[in-house]
Amino acid sequence: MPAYPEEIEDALAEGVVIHYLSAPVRIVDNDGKVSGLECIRTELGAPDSSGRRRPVPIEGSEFIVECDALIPAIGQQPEARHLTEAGLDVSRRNTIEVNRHTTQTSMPDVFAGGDAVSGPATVIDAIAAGHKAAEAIHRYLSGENLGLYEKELAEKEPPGRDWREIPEGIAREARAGLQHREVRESVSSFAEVALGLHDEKATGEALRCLNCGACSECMECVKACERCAVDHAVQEQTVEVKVGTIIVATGFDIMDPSPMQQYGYGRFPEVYTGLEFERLNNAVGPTGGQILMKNGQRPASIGIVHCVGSRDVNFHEYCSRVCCMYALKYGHLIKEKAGHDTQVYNFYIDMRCFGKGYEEFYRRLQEEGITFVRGRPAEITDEAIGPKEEGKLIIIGEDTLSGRRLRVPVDMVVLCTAMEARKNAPEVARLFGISQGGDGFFLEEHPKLGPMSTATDGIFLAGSCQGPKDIPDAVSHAAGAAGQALALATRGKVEIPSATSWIDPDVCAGCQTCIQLCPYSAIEFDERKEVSEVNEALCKGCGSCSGFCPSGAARTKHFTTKQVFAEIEGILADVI
Amino acid sequence: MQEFEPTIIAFVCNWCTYTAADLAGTSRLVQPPNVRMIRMMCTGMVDPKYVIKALLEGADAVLVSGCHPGDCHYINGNLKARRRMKLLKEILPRFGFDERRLKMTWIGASEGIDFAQTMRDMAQQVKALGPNQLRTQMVL
Repeated sequence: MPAYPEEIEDALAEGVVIHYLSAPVRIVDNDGKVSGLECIRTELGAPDSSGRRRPVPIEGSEFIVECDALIPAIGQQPEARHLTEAGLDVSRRNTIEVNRHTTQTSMPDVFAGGDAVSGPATVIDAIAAGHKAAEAIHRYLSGENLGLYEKELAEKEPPGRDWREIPEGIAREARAGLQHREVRESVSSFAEVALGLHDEKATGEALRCLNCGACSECMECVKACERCAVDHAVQEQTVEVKVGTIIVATGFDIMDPSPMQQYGYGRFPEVYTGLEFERLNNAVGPTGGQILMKNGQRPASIGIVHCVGSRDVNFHEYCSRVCCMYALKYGHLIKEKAGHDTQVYNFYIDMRCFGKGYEEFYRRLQEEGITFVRGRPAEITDEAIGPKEEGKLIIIGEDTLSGRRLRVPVDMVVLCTAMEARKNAPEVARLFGISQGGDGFFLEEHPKLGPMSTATDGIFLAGSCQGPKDIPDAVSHAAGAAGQALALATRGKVEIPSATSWIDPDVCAGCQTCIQLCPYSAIEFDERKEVSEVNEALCKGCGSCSGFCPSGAARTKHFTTKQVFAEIEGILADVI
Repeated sequence: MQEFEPTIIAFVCNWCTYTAADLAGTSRLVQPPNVRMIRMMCTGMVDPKYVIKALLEGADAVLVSGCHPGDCHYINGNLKARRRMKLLKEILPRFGFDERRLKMTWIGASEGIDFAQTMRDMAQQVKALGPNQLRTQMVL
């Protein structure tokens, strides 16, 4: 019986009796009314030519199923007589013969689709056939050659095969089972039996989606984006731009504080990173700029933890530079937006208010009634001791100025997480031929005299890709980089180093070994003079040639054998 | 007798190890005074005869230090140096030098700590190796 297992189970549960391998023989009547159905038992005979085992009636096994009503559920097939009469070609199975691609029948003016062509199928199949036929009919009426159209369709790749690869390591999850009406109710009513999924189950089921189809181009995002920023026609393209200088301004990443388990980020819903709090604060943010907890309540107290991941030998040794000041700004905004009775606790190591007007701002905040506690908190917990801490997050730490241990119950915690070099900084560095410092940020040419330039000529740095910076610093750094880049680019010519190679034509034996060695193809062989010659405009002075030249003809200026020998002799003069 | 203090000549690449040495210095990392550096534009320009010359002049060991493979400022000079030094190590014994008196390392521009550590290690190793025979025999 070709039914889904759960359908059979449901039927059995409702008390349906299934007679397998039985065939109806006749309807038994009592005074013209149905009283039963006579059936005969069958058994599976030998397989026929199609491999299917046909049921064979068992002689004398007739039995009667008593009933008051009988619902015949017999198969269907197209009524083909009038079709053949009309002159259409019809298959052995009484379905209309059509061209597979154009849906055209044996009569050129007639197209066909649906169950009459495919035999019993789904509504979706029928609609698809309708679409196909409509397109073909349009072309036919417009006078197009359907033969060409057929060929075009036949050569077209079948759609929906370029699925995204399923990532490894995804646990198998069972499909959510459908909720069914109680059997007691369903047997006595015509109400829908399948009740669908509850909210939770439905969202869970949706989350199982691996999104292997990627974008299905439903275009809903185009409608949703008010700024018209989505364009599905855009394709990846490689653009070659000729430039004289490049400014690298790739920015920074915010450290993920989840590895610092003592602060409970990710475990406690009311622990935020600085950037998340900024978003909460934003007028176009999820709360419309109001500072609210996830339960919609206004927080009565907020703890701000400085130096999370910065100034910490376990994470980043450097100071992230901006946190003290934005923590002060948050304090000010909390007082302003959430109310002046809101308690704000800053846990700091040192307050670093280094810029113009910064120290004054710090003082103003102290006067606004914000509490400053010197000491990095040890832990943030939700384990309350005493009624005051019930339902709150407790910041456990020490006030190192008074030497007291503290437990501060708060509603919300903001972690001022470290700024760090971007994850892909090594690739970017390799691409531009620049280096990274020990902290991962790009290395400037000189910490004091060349903070925007790099060891590679023409590559400049701007902003936090070189190290943590606040906005005024980043702006001045970028303006400086732009100025330097322009100064180099507008000059239109560059100075080449004096330390290039030179091949002494009197000594060169013409072995041409150096030509193979030169990474810049700066050496050419002069056939007439039978010596190799250096093109000084191309030579970068690496000395690959002079380090190997068997005759000693190739020399790098300022690094000749004579000079290096003299240097060696000089620094070893006191040794022997 | 005074403890033996070796003299090590280091041919260092201008773009990486030399900068690392600078960084080690400005970072005030402790390093032994045994190393005397000769700046080259690239380890690829270190002629093997420079190494032999240094040893003949009485250096107890020679270090050639360049950029990590793939990081060469001149595309691949450090790889050429690696080949040359490998071959040079093979023939050093014929000059009467222990092949351990020549060492090649990769130290990037930002690896000041690495540089100081390499210098300390090398000074230690050469101390254990003892002075260059030339210094005791005084024969050239």
